[in-house]
Amino acid sequence: MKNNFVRLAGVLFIISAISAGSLAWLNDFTKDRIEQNDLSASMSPEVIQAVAPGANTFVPFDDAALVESIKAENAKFVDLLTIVDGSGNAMGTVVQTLTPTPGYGGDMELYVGIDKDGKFTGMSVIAHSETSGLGTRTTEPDFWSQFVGKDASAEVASYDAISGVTKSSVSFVSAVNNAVSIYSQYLK
Amino acid sequence: MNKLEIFKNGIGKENPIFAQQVGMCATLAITTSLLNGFGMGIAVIAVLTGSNIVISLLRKLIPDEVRIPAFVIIIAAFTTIIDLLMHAYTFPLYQALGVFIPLIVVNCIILARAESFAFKNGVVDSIIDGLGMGVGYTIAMVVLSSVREILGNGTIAGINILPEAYEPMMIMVQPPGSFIALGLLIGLVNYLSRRKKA
Repeated sequence: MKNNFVRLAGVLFIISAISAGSLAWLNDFTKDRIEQNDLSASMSPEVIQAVAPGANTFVPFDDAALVESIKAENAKFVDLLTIVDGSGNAMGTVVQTLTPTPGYGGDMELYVGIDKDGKFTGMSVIAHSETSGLGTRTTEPDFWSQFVGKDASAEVASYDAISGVTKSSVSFVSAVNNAVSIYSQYLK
Repeated sequence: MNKLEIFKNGIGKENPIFAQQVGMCATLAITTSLLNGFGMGIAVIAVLTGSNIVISLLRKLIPDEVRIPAFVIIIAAFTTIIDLLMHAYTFPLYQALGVFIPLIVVNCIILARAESFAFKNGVVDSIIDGLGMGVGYTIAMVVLSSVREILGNGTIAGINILPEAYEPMMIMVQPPGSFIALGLLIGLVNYLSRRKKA
């Protein structure tokens, strides 16, 4: 009887060990590519043009100490990026933030672009787990273009939510409003 | 059963969705657009065939008492492999399917085929069974997701096909719509297969 237990556990152990070993190898093999995919997805030309039309790229924000102090005070804040045009001039700031009100599939992560005059230039959802075909509609310009050109120091109170996608819409706007509070508190 | 019959079995008589109705969770949730349905089908074919091969190879080594945990480990390993590969090499599809790829682990079709077929049959037959069941699953997913995308969004694979005047039935891409569409499709399939017999 005792031997039988050893045999059963042994077989399971071997199967698990082989599975874990091959997964570890594959994880190592694909790690760099996956990292690159995730990075390029958040920095692709489409994302940059959606967040700040006419911009060339985003670079890390100059004042690293400010970023750290916002991080300490605002749990959903992720990072600040400077919007740069083709000749290297700053055009505005991107607030990278999570959603204070979670969506249907947890937090979404957004880039919210704000120009030098304090107006929204555009936004992009760079990470989310919303329902494909429903919640994902908040990631499309049809929805968020209503905020473009609005004053980034005034909280968004009224907006058109997508019918049937209220939870994701509310979540999206909570991130926009988090960007508003970060902008008015630290950047204005 | 000859090889062609094993393959056809999964597409027709024992179609995982229309006939066996297993793995409904992911089926109902993911079929909001044709691309999602098709992508999920392909991922299931890969995991199902892979786990069928390994389980059928190991069937004499795995003791009966621990076969279910052994199946689960093997299936989870294959799902993770597909998850990593898709994340690395088919990134747009990975973004679209998101949380549903890890959920293939709990898709009953795969465990059901491991238990009822791969554990009792040879490797070649198990590969054919995996492919047949996978293709049957994919066909059902494609049909279901096409119906939902056309009615619910007025598009097919993202391309507008219905006139502007058509007001999309939002409910079809929402969760209740998946039950309605699936129910009607199963009814239709049953009706057609019965008429063929009569």
